[in-house]
Amino acid sequence: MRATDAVEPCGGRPDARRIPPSSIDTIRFHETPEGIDLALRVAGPVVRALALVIDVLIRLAILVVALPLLALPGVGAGIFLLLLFGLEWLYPVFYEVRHGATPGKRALGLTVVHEDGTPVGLSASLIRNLLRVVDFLPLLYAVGLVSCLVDRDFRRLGDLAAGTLVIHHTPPQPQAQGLDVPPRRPPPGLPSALQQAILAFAERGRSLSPARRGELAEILAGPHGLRGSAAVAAVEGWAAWIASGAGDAPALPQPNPRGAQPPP
Amino acid sequence: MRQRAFEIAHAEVWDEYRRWLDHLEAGARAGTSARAGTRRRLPRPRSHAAAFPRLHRQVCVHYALARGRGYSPGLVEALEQLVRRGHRLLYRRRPLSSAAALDFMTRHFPATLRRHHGVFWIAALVFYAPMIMMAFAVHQDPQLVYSLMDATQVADLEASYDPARRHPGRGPDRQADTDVAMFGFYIMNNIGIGFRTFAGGLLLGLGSLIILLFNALYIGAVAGYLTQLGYGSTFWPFVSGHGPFELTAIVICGTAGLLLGQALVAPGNRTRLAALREHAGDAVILVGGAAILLVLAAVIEAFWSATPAPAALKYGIGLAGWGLVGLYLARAGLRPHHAA
Amino acid sequence: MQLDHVSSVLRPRRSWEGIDLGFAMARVWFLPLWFLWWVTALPYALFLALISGGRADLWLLALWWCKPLYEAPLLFWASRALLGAQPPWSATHAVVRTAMSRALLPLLLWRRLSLRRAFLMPVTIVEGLRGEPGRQRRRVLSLHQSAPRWLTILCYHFEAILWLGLLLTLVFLIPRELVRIDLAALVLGAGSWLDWLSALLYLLAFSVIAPVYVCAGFALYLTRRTELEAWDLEVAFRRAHSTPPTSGRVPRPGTLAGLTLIGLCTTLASGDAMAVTKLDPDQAQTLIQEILADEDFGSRLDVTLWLPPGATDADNPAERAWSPGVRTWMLLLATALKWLALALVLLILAGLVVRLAHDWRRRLRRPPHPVPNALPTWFGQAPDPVVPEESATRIRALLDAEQARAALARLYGWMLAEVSRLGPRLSPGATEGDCLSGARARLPAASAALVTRVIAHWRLVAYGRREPDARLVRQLFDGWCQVLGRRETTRASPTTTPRTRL
Repeated sequence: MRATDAVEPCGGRPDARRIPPSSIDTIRFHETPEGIDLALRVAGPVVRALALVIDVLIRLAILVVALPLLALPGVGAGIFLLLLFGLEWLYPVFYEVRHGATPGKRALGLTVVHEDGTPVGLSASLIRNLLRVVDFLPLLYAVGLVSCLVDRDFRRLGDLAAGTLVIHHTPPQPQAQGLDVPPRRPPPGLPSALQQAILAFAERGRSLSPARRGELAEILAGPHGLRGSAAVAAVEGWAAWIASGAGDAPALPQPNPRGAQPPP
Repeated sequence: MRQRAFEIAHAEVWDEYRRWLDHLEAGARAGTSARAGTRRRLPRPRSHAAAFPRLHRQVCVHYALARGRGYSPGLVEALEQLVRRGHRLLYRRRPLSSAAALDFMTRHFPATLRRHHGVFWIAALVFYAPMIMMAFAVHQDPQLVYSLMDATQVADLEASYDPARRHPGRGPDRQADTDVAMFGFYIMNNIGIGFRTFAGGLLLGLGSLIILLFNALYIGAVAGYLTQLGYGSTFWPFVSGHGPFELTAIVICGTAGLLLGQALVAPGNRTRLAALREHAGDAVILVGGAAILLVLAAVIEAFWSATPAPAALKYGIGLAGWGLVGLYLARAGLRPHHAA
Repeated sequence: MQLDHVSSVLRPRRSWEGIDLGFAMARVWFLPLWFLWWVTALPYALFLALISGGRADLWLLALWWCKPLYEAPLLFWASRALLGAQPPWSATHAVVRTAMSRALLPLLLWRRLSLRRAFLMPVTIVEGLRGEPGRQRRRVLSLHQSAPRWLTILCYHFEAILWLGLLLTLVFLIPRELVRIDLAALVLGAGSWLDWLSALLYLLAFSVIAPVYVCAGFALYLTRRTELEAWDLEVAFRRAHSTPPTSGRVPRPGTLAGLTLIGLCTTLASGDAMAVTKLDPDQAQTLIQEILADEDFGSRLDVTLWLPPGATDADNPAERAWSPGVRTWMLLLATALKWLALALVLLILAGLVVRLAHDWRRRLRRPPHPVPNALPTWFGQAPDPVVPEESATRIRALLDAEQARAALARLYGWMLAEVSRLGPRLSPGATEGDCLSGARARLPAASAALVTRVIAHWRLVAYGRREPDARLVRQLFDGWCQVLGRRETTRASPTTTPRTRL
């Protein structure tokens, strides 16, 4: 946990000073009232443009379906015009307030949130969607595109005024599997970053080719004279040791926070 | 503490927390999806509802510990997913209630407008002054109307307000279904204009000014031209009913746009972005209120203005409308004396 | 690649996030990349302008086809910058030369139209793989990947949008009287100096999107390889061991000279069909206006005058198709809608009037006495000394009126007054925590425990907006009365418990 060191400047990006300029990333951290840093992975122009295309197609489809209304004299036309109005102005607001994002965004795993990571509210959603008109200028979201390219968090003008972000919602990788190899004592004095990397190696190993696993493991186990699958087994054994010690903890069939329910 | 021991020690808390998340998320979705189906399949949380925030804090601590102690990335990420879901549920905005909507109309909207009364008067000046001037100018010199409209538009205008003609659209024979169609059109067109007037404010306020000015000149030209033609007996009763609401709403949308412009041009003692955020919050309240006024205007315009009621009654209702709008914007939502 | 110097955080990402990472990279390095693009592209642009024979569209097409030539240095530069060694301005020449020395010919010929161009270019430019190994690498990389294609398609669209946006802005900003610019001619190309303006603007759009496109493709490539080969783990392993990396690749000298390509490009670009002769829309518009202004077109009024009043439906053929039953139903529905809307409006207006009148009455009427259940506005600030009996009766009254919240507030206020009475006054800014420590210091243990409970509940009320339980408040109140009564008796005796001060 980390204490805030200064009061946020008014309207400034509170997170700017946390990321060293040398490293470039699309992840933004926001500190919650519980004192933890919540990671927000902001979404860029390409995926947002695709989501927009999907939304436009959906709206067109609705209009095409509603087209027969025009055949009804008077009333049908009136309802059609109301529908047109709703689709133009209220469709994004409705879906953002109700479900966090429009169907197109949800299809691509995006969500609209306030800058503090909370789900977007009515006021912010209205602002960002009414100002869409300006982002659309002079045509096809040219202003919005330029704003997205210039801004660090890929915000268009509506997002800037409303204080919202479009973020990736789905987790970046499939859930990792647990370890089930006998623990082996690792070499002493491993730095914590390396320990984490070793744990990650054990968790993500299955998605790599065996040759590549051996190659990676040899970087660590090579100096100890181990090669190939022996090196992989050694590094996985170290990971088990780091996770659970020499076997002092009873073996659990399934580590729990990974989403699967334990067997009864 | 080793990671495995940590996992075993807190597994129960995490399970209960996850049950709560599933339960609450199903509740949040229940509005649209099949309520009973999703509810029954999920295991119910065992604790009381008040336990959820406590559980959230607990899991947050576990997440921070897991990160601080350098547990495996998989565990850290799984915990972060849990925390993220909880954060979304715990800090979501309250859904809009009917009481809040009423409060918005009776207090929030007029009070916000009064807070920015200076900008409102500027917008009103930009709107009404050119309108009146244009009306007088066109009244004196009818040719001026062609500077804004082309000949076909003028001819259409003449045709639809000609008192000597029984136009099917605006006579006693106009039917209710035409009214509904016109209602749809007024909603789409007028509220669209209102929203654009607001959004134009982001172009340093110029967009709002231009839209306000153009609409003012157009309305003024139409009024002056028709009056000069002697068509005032059809035109003025028609517009008197919805005029107070529609014109005021457009001015309010202009006010909202100018607020955005003001934040960008003269942000004061803040960054432009901070000023914009603050003003946008107020402006969107104004736009929301103006949109409601425009819906009112559309109802009146579609269903009342075209009825063949006597002109005197229509003028009376128009006057009452002005009085009501003025009273509402000036007086609604004032705090009681002793609190002020 | 020497992975352990990577200046952008390597971690597993979705492919969309990989593209976003590229956009972030391009944003940080935009100026050097843009400069580099112009340095490379400008000579080609001038040369092509000379040999294109005054045809702006051909020129643009040739420039477009040769894009990999100016993208290669950008990619090379970005790969160096990613490894933490940004080539300085002075090294521009070396960067361009090295990049040009890669096998660019396939990129300019059969792989030019590939939709995965930016994604696969690093295999050639950064890794320098050619022939079979390169092919193999490209096949493995592009397995089950759709994002690279979308990247290319969307970047083409971004270019077009920027170009059109620039054009429109220009046309809107230049006064009509100064120079007449025909938008349609500008977009479609009508063979005048406007073509060159349009093409130059397109070139500008190329130059803005190129760094973004190259970086996004490169980042996507990094993401994909991180996914396949866990590069982030390799970096962590190597960094920790600080062993020198084993696989620094030596750039191979290329065999292609850039200039020979240009001839090829121009020959390839010769067959275009963009020049279409069109009627001038402005002329057509004036012609239409002239014809419409003729008297023959003003006779619509006569047609409507023929209608007998009342028979309005007959003139609409669309409505005639509907049977009278449907028509009646529609009318009924419309009428219902109409009255519903009107009633709704009247209801809202009436509601507003009632509310206004209500507010007004409240404004005019002075409250006769302070509202009894008004909450104290202070937080931890001690109110004026309260007469115990008065407080007790008021709390009792509030409890009887089932206003547990107000009762709790008053009880809290009473306790504060008591705490203030026994020691130095609490400061106006004192928090609940200060009050608590004050109470613990000044009151006997039993009372302090009670104060602790009251403050805990008060916090739930004040910050958690949770209504307190009336029975609980009554219980607390009774406890407080008891404690006070007992203390009043003990206070008279000389054996008062000594108070400790914090």
